[in-house]
Amino acid sequence: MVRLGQRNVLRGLSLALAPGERLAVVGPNGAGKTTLIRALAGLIRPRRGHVSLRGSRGPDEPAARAGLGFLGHRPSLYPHLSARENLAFAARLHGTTDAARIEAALEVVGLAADANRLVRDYSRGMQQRLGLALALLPEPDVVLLDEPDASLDAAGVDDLPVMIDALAPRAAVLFSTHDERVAEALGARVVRLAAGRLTEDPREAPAPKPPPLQALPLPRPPGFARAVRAMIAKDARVEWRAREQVPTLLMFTLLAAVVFDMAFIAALGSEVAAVAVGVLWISVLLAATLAGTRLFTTEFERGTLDGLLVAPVDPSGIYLAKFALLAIETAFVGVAQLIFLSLLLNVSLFQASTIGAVLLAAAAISAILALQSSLVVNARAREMLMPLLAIPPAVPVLLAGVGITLGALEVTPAGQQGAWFGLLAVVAVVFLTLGTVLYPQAARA
Amino acid sequence: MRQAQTTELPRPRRLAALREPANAVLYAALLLSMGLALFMAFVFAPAERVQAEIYRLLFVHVPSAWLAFAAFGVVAVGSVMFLVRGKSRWDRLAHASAEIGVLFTTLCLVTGSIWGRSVWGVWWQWDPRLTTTLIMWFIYVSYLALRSYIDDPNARQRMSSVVGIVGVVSVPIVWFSVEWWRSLHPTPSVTNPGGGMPPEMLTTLLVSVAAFTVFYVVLLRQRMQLELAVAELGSLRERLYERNEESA
Repeated sequence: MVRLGQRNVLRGLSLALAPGERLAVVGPNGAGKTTLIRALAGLIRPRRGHVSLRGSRGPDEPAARAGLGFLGHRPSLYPHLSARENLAFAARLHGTTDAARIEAALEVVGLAADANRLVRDYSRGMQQRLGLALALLPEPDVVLLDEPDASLDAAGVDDLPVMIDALAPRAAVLFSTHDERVAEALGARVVRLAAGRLTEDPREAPAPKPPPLQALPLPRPPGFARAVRAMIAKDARVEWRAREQVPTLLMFTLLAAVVFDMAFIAALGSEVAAVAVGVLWISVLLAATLAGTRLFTTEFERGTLDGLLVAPVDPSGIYLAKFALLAIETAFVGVAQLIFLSLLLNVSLFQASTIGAVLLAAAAISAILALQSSLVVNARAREMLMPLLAIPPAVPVLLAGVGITLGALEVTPAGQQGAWFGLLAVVAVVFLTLGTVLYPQAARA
Repeated sequence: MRQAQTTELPRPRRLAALREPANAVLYAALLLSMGLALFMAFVFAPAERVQAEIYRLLFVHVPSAWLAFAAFGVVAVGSVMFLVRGKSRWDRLAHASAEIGVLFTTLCLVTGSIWGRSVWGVWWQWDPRLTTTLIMWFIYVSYLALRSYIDDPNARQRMSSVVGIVGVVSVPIVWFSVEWWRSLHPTPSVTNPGGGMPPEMLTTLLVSVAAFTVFYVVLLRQRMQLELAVAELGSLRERLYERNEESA
């Protein structure tokens, strides 16, 4: 049974798919087709019952997803990457860099001529073709496709069997569709879904008895560190192309420096160092919160989070990649703010100890924010909620940063700096550990 | 005469828990223990030599703080158990305990502030114990906010469980703050040997803690039963919906 909100979307449903078999799930809107495919892919936890891949493991185990191809309701595509780059990223998540396979996939889905164009310039039909290429790229033995014919023109629908035969000829394929002609063209057995239950159709031949379940050998999953590196590189490339975060954050911190300095202008005469320190850490914390809110939200909104969660990588790798990205951005913005404030207020903030504090604090804040960001993806008004959720646990970082910087400016004795650095390191380690352990629990609702 | 139409939905068994006799026993225990605690706080315990009568806030302030710590510990246990076992009752336990923990922390902060105004001359001091308690309060308010901002029950349970586990880190920080940093807040006088509290005051404090513990258990049971009733209502609605769909 799968429950979404207050409704049991799927009930009393049992399906077995033999190796190489093709199965079409047909049903009206709201029948539960998408929910079924998401549950089979491990994106939704069934309230009762289980999903078994290759006769042994569930899709929540990364190794079991190594031979799984998935196309969701929306293709898992990065609009600021080209088709070739999207495929190369997916290949790296599956532990391969087989360029010939990528070129073959582009050729089969008819996108070879447009392979270097950014996906944001693709039509919806081209995006669907690329989504199919992504699903079939890792030579899967199990393929789950949610309405593969959606947005395809007549030629595209005709090409579907060719694409699957060429890229995943021996795979077991389960797909949903409204169009029974697609099921016929793919030579698939048809099951009908209505209101979350499979219904018998007297016109259909009885389902062949599936062979007894036996554990099949699993493809080799990619190395964890390699997958994390691939995700960081992907995010860096997307940011380089989109320029959505870093320039805006730089402008935000500069603006914060100016506005706060003006607000505290009466104190600037005697307490300039204290004001500079306060402005530095508040602006760094706020900038990190702004950027942190978007870490997982962006992936969620464009549908690419599903692609990451279906990849054969432990979800803690997704958390670590997002942590690393935010830590780099926060450190960059923090160091820039040290320079801004040194120039604006004529204080010597740009010192080794303050740079060290900014770098370590960036790691600590990012460890907290990356976890909190993953928790608000399903929330309403997440931009409002995120500061409330993220700032209280970050207070020790703020206190330690202020302590170190005041010591560096000799406003307070410098003797306690070691303890403050220790606090920053403890916060970073504790929250990195918590995030690594807990994110996989939060990733699948 | 026209017969009234009745729905033939089965009576939910778990709702019978609302009428359990254990509730009556707990209410009686609450009434007795709270009555005794009030009597001891205002009559039995002597006035304090320096602070005179205002110190009697201690008999609300300290139990509130301890029960808040215990409540947040229960939140963490419920959250861990929910993530491990996946049973909604653990999430209901965590949710109920978080609400009561926030209530007790608020009570602790308010009584502390009133005491501080009388003894320190200010409503608030940026003291480590006060500040860390306020941060702990914010963390659990954000836990409750997160729950109210997520509509999907499955996601709500999982996401808030993570915050319930992370949030408990704040409890030992609040507890040890008076030892780790220089603090104006009085150091523990019950758990420290030779804390210097006269026996009448200590006895009254322990009775107050017992009364607040019963209060916590009563609130927790009531809140969980309310949550259960809401869940049962949702389940009845779902069955009604399914029945209508089948008949259509």
